[in-house]
Amino acid sequence: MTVGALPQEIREKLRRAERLEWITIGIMVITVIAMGLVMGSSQAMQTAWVEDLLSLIPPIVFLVTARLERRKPTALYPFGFERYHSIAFLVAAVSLTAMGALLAIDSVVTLIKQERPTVGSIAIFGHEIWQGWLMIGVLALSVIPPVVLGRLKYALAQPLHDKVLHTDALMNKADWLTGLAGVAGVFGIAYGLWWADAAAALIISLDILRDGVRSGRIATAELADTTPRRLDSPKISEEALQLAARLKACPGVRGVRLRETGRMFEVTVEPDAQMPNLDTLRRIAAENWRVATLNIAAVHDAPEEAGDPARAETGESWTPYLRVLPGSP
Amino acid sequence: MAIRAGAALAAALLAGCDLPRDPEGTYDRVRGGTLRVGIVAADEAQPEHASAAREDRAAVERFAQELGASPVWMHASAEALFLALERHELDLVIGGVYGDTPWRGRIALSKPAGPHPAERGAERRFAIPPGENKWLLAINRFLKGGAS
Repeated sequence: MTVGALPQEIREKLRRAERLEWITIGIMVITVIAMGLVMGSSQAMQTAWVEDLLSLIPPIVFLVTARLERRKPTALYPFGFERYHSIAFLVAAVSLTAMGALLAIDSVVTLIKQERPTVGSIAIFGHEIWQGWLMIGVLALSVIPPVVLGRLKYALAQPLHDKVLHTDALMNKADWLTGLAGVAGVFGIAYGLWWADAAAALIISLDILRDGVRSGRIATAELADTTPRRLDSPKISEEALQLAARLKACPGVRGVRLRETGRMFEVTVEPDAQMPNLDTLRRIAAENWRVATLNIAAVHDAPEEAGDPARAETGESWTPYLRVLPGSP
Repeated sequence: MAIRAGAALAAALLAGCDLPRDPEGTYDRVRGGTLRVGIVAADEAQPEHASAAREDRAAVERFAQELGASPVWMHASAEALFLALERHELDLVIGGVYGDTPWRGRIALSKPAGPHPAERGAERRFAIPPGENKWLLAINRFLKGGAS
């Protein structure tokens, strides 16, 4: 059965998130153009430019899947479209990781090859001004929107339990960190420290890689139908454990299994010989807007162990109920 | 517009400082010292290049005078000169340096010093050791300030 529709508050927050993502795309495009114009041959600035391009990916996948995931199930999509959110999450996580990896590799290669960044001059009002000052200006300005947008998105991602938005917020954090690294790098060049550029970029890249890999872990775990995790860490979700405990406490419930489809939970209840009260189950499920689907398993043969998410951390194995397949024993 | 104004302001403020600096100290070494210049050897089949090289040499002599430097000239092929430049064994290479040179990632190029002797619309430049940003700025200022 499908439990209730999204509450009004959540739907409003989703609309806000969509607006934020449109604004992000607009600002990023402007930033990319501005940076492209003043780039020169600064290593950190060139890499910052590519990353700003990469950071267009999460907002785009967010907007595409935000529409998709709300559609009603069809014959072709009997389980609905919620999983697209999970796919978008993986795409965003991979973009973030790619950004970190690109920056790290680039910086290391530059340092090994001992490349000297040459930054020339540009004519302003008839005077030749060192282009580095212009780069610092553009980089410093480019830091402001990601800081603002990142905070707003981070705040929205929590109540919406939106992983794409959260990853996008991490991407914005990566954006302003690399912007600052670029500023430090160009100042380093100004002082004759040709390696400062690449060194600053390398340090930043490690932080970005860490965020990207962690997000990738969570995204993969979700697509592999593991017990639901928290928004920002691979640890098991408290919310999921509590929901499972409440359901398991109902008479007639042998076991409970949970997985995430996008931002939603899909609950599978394994009943006893005595069936549980459907209304009680429905009531408990409806209390949490994240429960989209509640299934009652058709148990062919009652297994010894029953599903209990509380044992997820121990990693012990257990036999799930036998699937009802033609020809199976 | 605001960015340009801000940059100009910052540059004016920092004009008191000696930023940007040269990692290898080229500008400071050349000023009042020796200026090692490479001139690309003339190609007998293209005589118009020779007049361009003469103009470049005259410009560099003027520049050296401004800096109080004594120029030392080396004539060699473009490849040999660029290699020496990359290794910081030369301070400047002139007389046959163009924007589309395959060396442009490994050495630095100045702003245009004059028209290309053969191709209409193209320009010739000076080549500078990589990463010597103060030196490059000085040369660009000279090229753009003293209009030929």
